[in-house]
Amino acid sequence: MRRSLLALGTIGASFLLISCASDEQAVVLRVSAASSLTGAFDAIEAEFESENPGVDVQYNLASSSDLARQIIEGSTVDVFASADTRNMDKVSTAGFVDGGSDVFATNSLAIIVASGNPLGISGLADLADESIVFVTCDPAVPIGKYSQEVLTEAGVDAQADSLEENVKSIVAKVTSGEADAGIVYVTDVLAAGDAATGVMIPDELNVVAEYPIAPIAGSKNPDLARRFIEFLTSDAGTRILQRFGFGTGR
Amino acid sequence: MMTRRRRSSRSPALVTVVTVTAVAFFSLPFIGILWRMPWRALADVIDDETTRQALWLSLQTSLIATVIATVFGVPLAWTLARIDFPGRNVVRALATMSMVLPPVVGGVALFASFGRRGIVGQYLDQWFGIRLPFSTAGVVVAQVFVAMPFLVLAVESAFRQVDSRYEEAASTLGARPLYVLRRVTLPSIRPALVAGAVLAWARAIGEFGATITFAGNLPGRTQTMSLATYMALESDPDRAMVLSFLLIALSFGVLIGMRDRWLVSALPEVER
Amino acid sequence: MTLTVDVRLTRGSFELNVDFDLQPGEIIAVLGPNGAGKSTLLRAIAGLEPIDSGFVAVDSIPVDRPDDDIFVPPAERAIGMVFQDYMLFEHLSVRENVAFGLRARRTNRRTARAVAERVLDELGIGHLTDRTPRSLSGGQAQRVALARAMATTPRVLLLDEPLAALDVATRREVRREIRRQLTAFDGATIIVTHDPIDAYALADRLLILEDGRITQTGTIGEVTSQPAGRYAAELVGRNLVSGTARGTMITTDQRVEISIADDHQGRVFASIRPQAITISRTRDPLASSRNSWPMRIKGLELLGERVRVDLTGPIDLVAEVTNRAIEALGLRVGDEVVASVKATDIEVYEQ
Repeated sequence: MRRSLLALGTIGASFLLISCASDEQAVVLRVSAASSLTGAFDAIEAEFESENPGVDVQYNLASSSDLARQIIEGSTVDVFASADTRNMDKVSTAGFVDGGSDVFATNSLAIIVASGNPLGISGLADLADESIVFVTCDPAVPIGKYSQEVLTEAGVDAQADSLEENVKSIVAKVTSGEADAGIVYVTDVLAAGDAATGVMIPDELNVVAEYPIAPIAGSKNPDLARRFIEFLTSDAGTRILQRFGFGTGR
Repeated sequence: MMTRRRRSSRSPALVTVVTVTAVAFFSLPFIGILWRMPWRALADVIDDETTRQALWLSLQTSLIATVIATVFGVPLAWTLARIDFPGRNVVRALATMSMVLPPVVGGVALFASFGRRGIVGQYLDQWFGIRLPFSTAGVVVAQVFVAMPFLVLAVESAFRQVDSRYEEAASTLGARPLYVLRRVTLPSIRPALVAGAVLAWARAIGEFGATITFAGNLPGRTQTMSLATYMALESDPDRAMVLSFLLIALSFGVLIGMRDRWLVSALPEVER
Repeated sequence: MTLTVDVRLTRGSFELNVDFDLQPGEIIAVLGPNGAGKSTLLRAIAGLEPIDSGFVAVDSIPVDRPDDDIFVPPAERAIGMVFQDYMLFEHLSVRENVAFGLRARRTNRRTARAVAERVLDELGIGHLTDRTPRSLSGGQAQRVALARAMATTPRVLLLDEPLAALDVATRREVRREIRRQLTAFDGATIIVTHDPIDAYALADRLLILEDGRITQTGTIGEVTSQPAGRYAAELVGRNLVSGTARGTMITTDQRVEISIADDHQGRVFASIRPQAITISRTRDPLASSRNSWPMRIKGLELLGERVRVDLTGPIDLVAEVTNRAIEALGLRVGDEVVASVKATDIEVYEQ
């Protein structure tokens, strides 16, 4: 009995030591970011961490609506990057934004189809075809709302077969072959590489998605949060965003 | 001489404390919902078309899934209990594995098998034009996948405990094996069968992960109550509360309707 | 032949090897020690255990013959079986239990129920048709089990320890009932029992099974007068006397009078346990003169602390006394002694 207590004690102490040690070594910056920012923000993290040794950037990637809800319900994050202003406004109205928000990137939409476009989809009008499995997101999710706007603008009544959780789910359904088409961000089509093909949406019909970012009230690292946001609008940051297909003018 | 009063039906203090804590743990979430429920919104949400669709869809699919699980699960359970075939343990593990898998993993697995490019799914699509993903049938498939193990486990255990001499007596009286199964064995496992079916139904109606991954989410076709509640969280938390309340009320109603004697007793009804 | 059995069956280290047959209407009792294979034999005849070699035939039609790949499942043999624990279906009423066999054989519900009610009436338990098996007493359940087996008019009836679970008084009553039913039954019956009284009361013939083999078969008289094998000998060692009772007096077939405790009438068996017999040198003039007979010691057999005394006289008895008693009395083979037994130590059974 004594021996096992001793062993447990040792293990417990070591865990404590390890966690204390890592705390001392790195400051953690928690960023909630829209899932469409996945690839770009991974590269951002690498750059930011190399410029700021001792900082560990941790991401929480999901649909902006999910993230907004989490913040309002009390999740402790330092920064929120949303794919639309609507969800940022929700968080701001609830009093969780520290100061104001800034738009740091823009995006536009494209149709994503299976690699090589086997069904020969040429535009939004083709999405009205019932035999095509078309998936989108619930309007509460930014891409869902943007898609609705684009389709209404184009006068197309597309029959969605499913409302996915976030834009990356749409990409996954198309690349795995379960769905024939979806409307996603241009950056997502780029990120998918060879696994999918994109079909352009004409500029006159397309939307400009604005990505606001803000530090969150109650953060333990407000200065670090601001530094992260500044990095995004710096030369180094905008270069990375552009590389992934985001627009960075205002 | 001091006599001790008999305390046969009272539990020891420690057990009582732990039990009360456990009961509190289980009741609090439901009490919480009742407390935060926007009662005024109740009528509106119930009137809403998508709510009715979700409710109806949940009931329909879960009941069908339970029936399918029973029809296939009982013979499977019987075979596992009675016939010693090579690989029996493997089969049992396969049949009950979805119980320990995260439902999303179940959904992914269903894709790999019944999806448009799945091993079986591709032929279903090519030859029969049957597409399970994004269909109501797909919802049922997902629910059967996660719910059947509950029934199989409950029933297999009961089959094992049946005294085989009853079946022997029946056969000496002239009953062929299927008749024995129907009129002697099954009636004797009725409590376990009922319990297993109810558990399966409860699991089916609560299913989320496999459903949203495999069957998708579309009001009227594949958006069950669980999915509708999840979606509502994003846009309308009040609505999410009401939907949660409705689903809880429904499940609670069914579970409380289960009589003790169906579940526990080995005293089945007498057929006159 | 209603039933012919010639089987060999091995289960682990146990081997059953028997060969016998039954005429229509015949009732045999299979007696033997525990583990002799009595139940296994019944199960083999019923088809619940397949045999390894040989054959079982009912009405000259083989139902189990491994050499020719013949095996008729239990459901298709015209055999009825009453199990040791009755195995009544608890979710069915008494009537439905008895009707079960007929309905299983596709008889329509109404006919089946009518037959069930009739059979139950004949067994004197017609008033129990709507009861549940759980609410029945041991004796009632036993009769329902018998009714259930007989309702399908089998050619062979197998009873496995039918009275074992009953108390003495019920046993007597049920035994009478069974005997009535079996007399009217035109098929063949096998009763497995460890109680010789059942055998004597119900059977025409005995079959003694020891360690999987038949050690003796014959009528009761044959077996008890010339026991072959240890079990038969022990049976006889229980002192079974046949006679006619009038009130509390039995007159044996050898004209000896035995006093008994309760009133009986007609043909009876009187059973005297060897341990209940006392041996003395002379008749005690003050003791009652009933159940006291002059005997000669024919044989003495030492069994540890006890001695088996073979006595011959007006009736032949086997007594069991302590070693010390023998020494105290100085008993030797050939000695003249007096054997007595109390009326209350004599068990009487109607034949």
